[in-house]
Amino acid sequence: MPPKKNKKQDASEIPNTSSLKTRRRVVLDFPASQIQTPITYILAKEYDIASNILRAEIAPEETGKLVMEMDGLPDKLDLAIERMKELGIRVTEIARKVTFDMDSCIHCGACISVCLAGALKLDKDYHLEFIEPKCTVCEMCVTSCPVDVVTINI
Amino acid sequence: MIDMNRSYSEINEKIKTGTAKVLTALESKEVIKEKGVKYLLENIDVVVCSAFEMHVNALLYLSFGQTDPLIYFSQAYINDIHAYPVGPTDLVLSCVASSIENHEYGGSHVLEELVKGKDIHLKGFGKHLEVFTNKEFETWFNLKQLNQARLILNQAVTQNNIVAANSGDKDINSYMGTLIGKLENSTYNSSSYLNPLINDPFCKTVGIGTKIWIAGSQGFITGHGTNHNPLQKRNKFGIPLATGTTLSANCDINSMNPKWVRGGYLKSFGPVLYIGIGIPVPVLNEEIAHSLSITDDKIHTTIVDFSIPRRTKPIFGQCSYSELRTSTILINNKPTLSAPLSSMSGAIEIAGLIRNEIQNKTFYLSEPIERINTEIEMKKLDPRLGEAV
Repeated sequence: MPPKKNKKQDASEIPNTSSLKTRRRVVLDFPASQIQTPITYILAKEYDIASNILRAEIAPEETGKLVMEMDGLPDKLDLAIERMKELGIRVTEIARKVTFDMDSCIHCGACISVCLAGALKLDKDYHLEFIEPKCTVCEMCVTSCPVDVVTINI
Repeated sequence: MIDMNRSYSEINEKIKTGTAKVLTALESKEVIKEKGVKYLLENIDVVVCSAFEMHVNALLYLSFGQTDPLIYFSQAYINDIHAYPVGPTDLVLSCVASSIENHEYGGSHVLEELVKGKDIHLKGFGKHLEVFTNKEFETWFNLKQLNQARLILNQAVTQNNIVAANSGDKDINSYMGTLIGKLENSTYNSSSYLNPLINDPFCKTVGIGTKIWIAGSQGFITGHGTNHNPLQKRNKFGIPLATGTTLSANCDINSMNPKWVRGGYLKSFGPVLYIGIGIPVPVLNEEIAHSLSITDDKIHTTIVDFSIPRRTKPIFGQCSYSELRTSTILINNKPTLSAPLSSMSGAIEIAGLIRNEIQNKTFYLSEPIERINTEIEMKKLDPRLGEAV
């Protein structure tokens, strides 16, 4: 009996995350020497990482900046980030965070309708209230906002 | 019983002498709750009702000066949005028309930028007639350089609206926002107990010629509006169970306040306009005082299933606005998130501004010159092939 219990505990303590793909957002700062490096090709070919470029500011013969999402296996992501650092690319990981521009918000409530996590509500004066700890960053509110005041902080 | 009837001219005289008693709709509900309808009738002259809701059915009428040589526009683009010529140098821009470059940018955003005093781009082509020889013209303009800039709101005020939900499996993006499948959420778009037509459900005080507040500018009601359906089934308090009466209005853009004009965009629907509207309701008699006592628990609306894209959609039943504003309603016994699409805080702020304007003698009431037709039946459009008869 006891060994069985141990087995169960082990399984719950270490969920098999190594086989689950995760997403990381990174800002890549390229030195001029690395502008020609086909970084997304390397990521896909060698690390099986799908890159989704969110913002790119790269001019030939100058330094460049790339903001992107990387989808892949956690250990491969670590290796890929290590590789990019070796190439001289500065890698900054960013935590995703929803931001509301409250000065521009009209407090209509459209974002509340899609927030199934319950992180958005109206206070007693009908002003929008964002309860950040409840936010799961599902990003539904970003597209639901008619006046474009919700952004994912990058 | 004392005759408590007031006339428009008596109220305006009081405004002139600074003795008019004005409340916002929100304040009036408190007063009625505490002191009763009779107190309101005897002591209050005006109750300001307001809304800051989502609008479509809006047009910008822009009248430009003549170019040299003369032009008769055949095609024109305002910030890359197709505008329609209605005379040599007059253009009409739909608030829901999208830019060629960016479908999320529309006529409503142009209105917002015009009011902010920003530069707007105009490119046009001329008809090349005998007198109007200018074939092509391009310039930047702002609001001050226009001869006339008017906003035509063909659904300036809406009496109630439906609640949208979605029983299907997939999410739907609609003019009622994003409706998550399997009845996860529902949306409603009405300022309910603050709305002018909820407080005057049979248009006893508001009519053609009534002066109204549109984003800080003084406009006028021009008649009934789009989707006018006054014969809609009503509850026992006289409130229609879905969209009932609607009003159209018209105003000058020049004195608008940019805070109350906002261009918006709804996914899978297009550009929309958020504009602040306010109508002061004169407490003329007991009947009007009574209708001003309406509260959310007496305003009912219909829950409609949007999963079926047909003219007649399945209905889940009715609910009151006090239920909707608790953030959860029951649809088919399932607790469903309910959220508004119109700004109540905006509406409350607007009513306060108009109350101040009346107290500062810059906003007077106007008596309607004609009643709104409340006997019209809403028509449908069906296909018919073959020859005209």
